[in-house]
Amino acid sequence: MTATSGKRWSDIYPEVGTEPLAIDRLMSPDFYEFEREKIFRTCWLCVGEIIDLPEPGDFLIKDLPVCSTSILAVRGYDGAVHAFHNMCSHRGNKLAWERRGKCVGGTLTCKFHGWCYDTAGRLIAVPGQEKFFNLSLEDNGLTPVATEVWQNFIFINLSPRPRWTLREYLSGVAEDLDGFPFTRLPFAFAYRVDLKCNWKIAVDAQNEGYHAAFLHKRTIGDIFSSAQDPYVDPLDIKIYGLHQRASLPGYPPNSKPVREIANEFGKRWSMSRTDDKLGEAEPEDVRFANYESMPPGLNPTRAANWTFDIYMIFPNFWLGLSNGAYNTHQWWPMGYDRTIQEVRMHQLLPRTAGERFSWEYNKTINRDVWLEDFSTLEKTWEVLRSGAKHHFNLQDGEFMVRNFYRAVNEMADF
Amino acid sequence: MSNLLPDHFEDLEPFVDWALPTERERNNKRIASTMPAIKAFYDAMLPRARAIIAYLDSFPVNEMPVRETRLMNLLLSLAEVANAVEIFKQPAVIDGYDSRRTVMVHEEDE
Repeated sequence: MTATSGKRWSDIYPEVGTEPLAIDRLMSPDFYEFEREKIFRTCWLCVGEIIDLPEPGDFLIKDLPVCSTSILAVRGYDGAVHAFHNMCSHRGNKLAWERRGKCVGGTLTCKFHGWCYDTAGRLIAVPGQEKFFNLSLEDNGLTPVATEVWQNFIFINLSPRPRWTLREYLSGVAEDLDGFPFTRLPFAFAYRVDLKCNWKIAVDAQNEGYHAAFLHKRTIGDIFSSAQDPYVDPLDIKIYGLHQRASLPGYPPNSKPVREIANEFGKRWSMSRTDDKLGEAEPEDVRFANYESMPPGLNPTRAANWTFDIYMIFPNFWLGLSNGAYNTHQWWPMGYDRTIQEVRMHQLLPRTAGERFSWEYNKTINRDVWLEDFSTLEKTWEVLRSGAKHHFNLQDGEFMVRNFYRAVNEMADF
Repeated sequence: MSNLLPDHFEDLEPFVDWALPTERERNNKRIASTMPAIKAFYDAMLPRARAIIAYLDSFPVNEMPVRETRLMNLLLSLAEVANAVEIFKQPAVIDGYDSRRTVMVHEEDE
């Protein structure tokens, strides 16, 4: 329910519905096969960051078992990022094996038989070419995939004819976040976990604040819930087609001895986003001095007790934006019952020992909170397909969860 | 034998096994330690934290000499165990996902 209007979110967005969510089909192996085709081979997927490809010849790979492929993204000498299936035209060997690297001499050579490609994906040399039967180098370059960049993020689309350009796909989101300093906030740290659960269970865990007062009662319950607002009702919610946003409130945290010292030397990393996030001296290009100068989609209600905004880009790219930092979650299905999740933080890096201490303390708090978040996922999966229950009962404030399944069902049935 | 830690911090040398250079190692030690051991380390470090920071702030944060690096790593271990002492009252996150299954991507070889 919105604090201001007293209306329920389900009244404002009736299309999301209020019925219990039927789960049997959603969590089945058959449905996973639909998802692989109708979601992961249809939607735009974020596979990397352009700050990882600063120079021509820089490349990264993203393995995508959910789509039975691996993607190679290269910064070309034309300055643009190009992506290909990471597969040699000879006998299908994976071309690049390292997660990140440089095309030495502007080329990539297959380890198996020495076939050589340039950064535009052209096949430029085949050892023993004369032994082949009318082999056309021109016809056998790397197979490209649609690639576009939004802010710091490299997206690909595996459909031969994508339904949308990336700009169309992100329509509304891109405009609302225009001006957020994504590329000026460096990568700080990340954690990766290999979860025995369906990917959607892991997504749900990041898309509601209802659990903060319970699962996180020891760590950050004090930051996000209060006596007046125990269940972290969003300040604002917006749907952007398949995507959605929720803006969240927060409160000053309880004091702890090490936290006090950390805050003395580096408040900017504090998990409590209400800790003087506007006032602290910062480089101007990564922090907004006041709410009015923020993009329309950052703290959209300009609330004084705002902490951060969640942007859930369908299907599997979650952003948490605050003033001076952002983090992302991504989920990569490995099967209907296994998911690799990676959470990444982007924030200014420490410059002194005191800042390094504060940064480490806040990194540890973040990490321990995510360990709380991950704690229910495999346990849920152990019993989810028992046949004992067939529905989730979701409350009004678990809006993002209901809306996410609306998008999943819409795409799977398309 | 020369001091392992900078002058004026010799009192912390009994805890030098907490001077670990990576988050993976520091977390492993937190999880594997008893609460009395963690509390003893925390109780020794907490009152010295500001003095340590004041001393180390005069060195480049990523290029400290060997003894100062050890002292910095002790401080980072204080950050690691803070939650065990102040929040969970046990080494690991209560009912948490096993941190040993968590990959610290920022410390991975590319």
